[in-house]
Amino acid sequence: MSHFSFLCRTKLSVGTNALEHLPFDLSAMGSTKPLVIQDKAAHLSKAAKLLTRAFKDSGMAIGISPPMPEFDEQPNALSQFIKSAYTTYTEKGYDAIIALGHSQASDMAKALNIAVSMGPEALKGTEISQPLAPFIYLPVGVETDTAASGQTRFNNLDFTSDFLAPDQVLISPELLIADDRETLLNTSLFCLSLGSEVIGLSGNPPAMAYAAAVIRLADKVLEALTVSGLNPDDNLRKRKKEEQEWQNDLVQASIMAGYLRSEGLPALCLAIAEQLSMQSRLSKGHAMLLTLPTVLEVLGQPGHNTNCSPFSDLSKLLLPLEGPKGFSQVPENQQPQAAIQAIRSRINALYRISKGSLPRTLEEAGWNEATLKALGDKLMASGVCKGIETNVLDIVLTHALTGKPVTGI
Amino acid sequence: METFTEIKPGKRYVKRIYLSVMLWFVGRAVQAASRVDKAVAAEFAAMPDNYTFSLGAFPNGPYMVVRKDDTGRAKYLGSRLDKQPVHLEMSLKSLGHLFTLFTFQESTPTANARDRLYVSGDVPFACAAVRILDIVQVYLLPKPIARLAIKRYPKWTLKRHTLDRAAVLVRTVTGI
Repeated sequence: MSHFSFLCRTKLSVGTNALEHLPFDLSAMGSTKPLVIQDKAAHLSKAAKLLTRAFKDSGMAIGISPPMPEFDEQPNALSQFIKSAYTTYTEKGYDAIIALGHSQASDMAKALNIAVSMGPEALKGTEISQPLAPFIYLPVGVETDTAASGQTRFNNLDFTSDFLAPDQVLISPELLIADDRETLLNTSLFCLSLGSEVIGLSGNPPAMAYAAAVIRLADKVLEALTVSGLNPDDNLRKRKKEEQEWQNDLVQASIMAGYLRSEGLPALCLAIAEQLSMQSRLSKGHAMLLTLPTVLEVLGQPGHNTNCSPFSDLSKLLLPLEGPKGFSQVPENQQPQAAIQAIRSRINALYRISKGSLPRTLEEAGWNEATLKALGDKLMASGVCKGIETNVLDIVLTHALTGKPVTGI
Repeated sequence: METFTEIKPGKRYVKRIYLSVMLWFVGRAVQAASRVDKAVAAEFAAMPDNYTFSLGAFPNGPYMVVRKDDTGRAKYLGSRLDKQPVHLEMSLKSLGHLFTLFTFQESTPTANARDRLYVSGDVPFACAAVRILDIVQVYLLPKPIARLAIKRYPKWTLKRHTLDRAAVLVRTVTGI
């Protein structure tokens, strides 16, 4: 029997009136006085006011932070902010942290949680091996990135621990700020790619269940975007309503995708895409989608010598991508190829609806063999591609460059 | 740089007054129904003597407290939890949820399915208490509103719809 493990310690609450649960849930965690860390987006949308309203009649006092500085502001601003948050938290007797905003607010709240639970010295780099203070995350948009995961980054240091994940993520529609179609598209591609890689390569049933839900939600939005177009001429009211519905679905997908970002799960597409998006105009989600077919083709081959491939089964990917009807029409032996073809057809559809501005291959995105070779070397040197051999990464990048399928599956 | 602020969120006085009136009315109606309706009487008969249950909102109410007395009938004891031991506490997780329930925007089963209700005590008696409340709501509310408050509107005899309903309403108002 194959070995796998999966831990998700985050409770997810979604829907109208979900905010009203917050005082009860906090008191169940033993908290009576939470401190809210908010980013600029949350501050501008006055999300803290809605949050405060939910605490009426609860008997709790809540602390509200000023908007936290952006990461690209002056270098000391973040350190100053966390120092002042730490002093406030400890001197005024707060006992829980609520992050309100995009993933930056969550990252800041996680760093603060390390400082208040283990002492400020722990932020200089330490192993987090003990439970931290209660931590709740309230997203205001689809860009949640690592917010629901056990990872954070502060002062150029990475922290990873299951204890860092939020105790609860609460998605309330009234807190959400409208995201533009580009952001929705990028998030849906990110979720689709991450979910597909986990289903195709992880062999981890609980993670695959989450991944299937992530793919279903993200693909629904992607399909709607493909039909509706990226810049439709519809009336504004119809557009806003559509986008609001997609946002509700995507924020859930994005949070669940955060559950899938743990150490034992495959994330080669993400590692490559992070570098690709840093060095070109490709968005992270789109870069992940462009590398996904070749990553699945190479690592999904039976008997491939990697950490994940002994359990991989690409045929399982076809069901969430094509639905029961599409899945049942394909013979078992053709299912892996059909799943990969389904992903390629999505890439081509994006090219069509964007009238050629969303590339189908890395070559169309302006990359060439030499630049990709340099990127591959950088990836291998950074150690983010654990368990992946250099020649395997070369094959992945070479085929992603031209979009040529890898034979042999 | 702006500073950290501490806020003590206020109270929702109008909602609290509305809910206090509704719970008072429903509590008295439970007492009246236990004397008029056989199904309600049977539910109370299955409970131990002096069994007390409450319905309210976390953390500070308002509440209604009902006890089964020695004669097997229900007695509405008011809105204070601390005056007597309560064997079964049914609470909505916030005043807002109780308000949603008692303005019939959500039925009891829907509120339960959405994880708004929590119970401290015996679950079988909590189910009995919910059945009692469903019957009482059918007595108190016009059909279109009662349909919003319960899962399925019951098929009752004409006597139950007319004479028993009138008796429950009179007893609720007079408190006998």
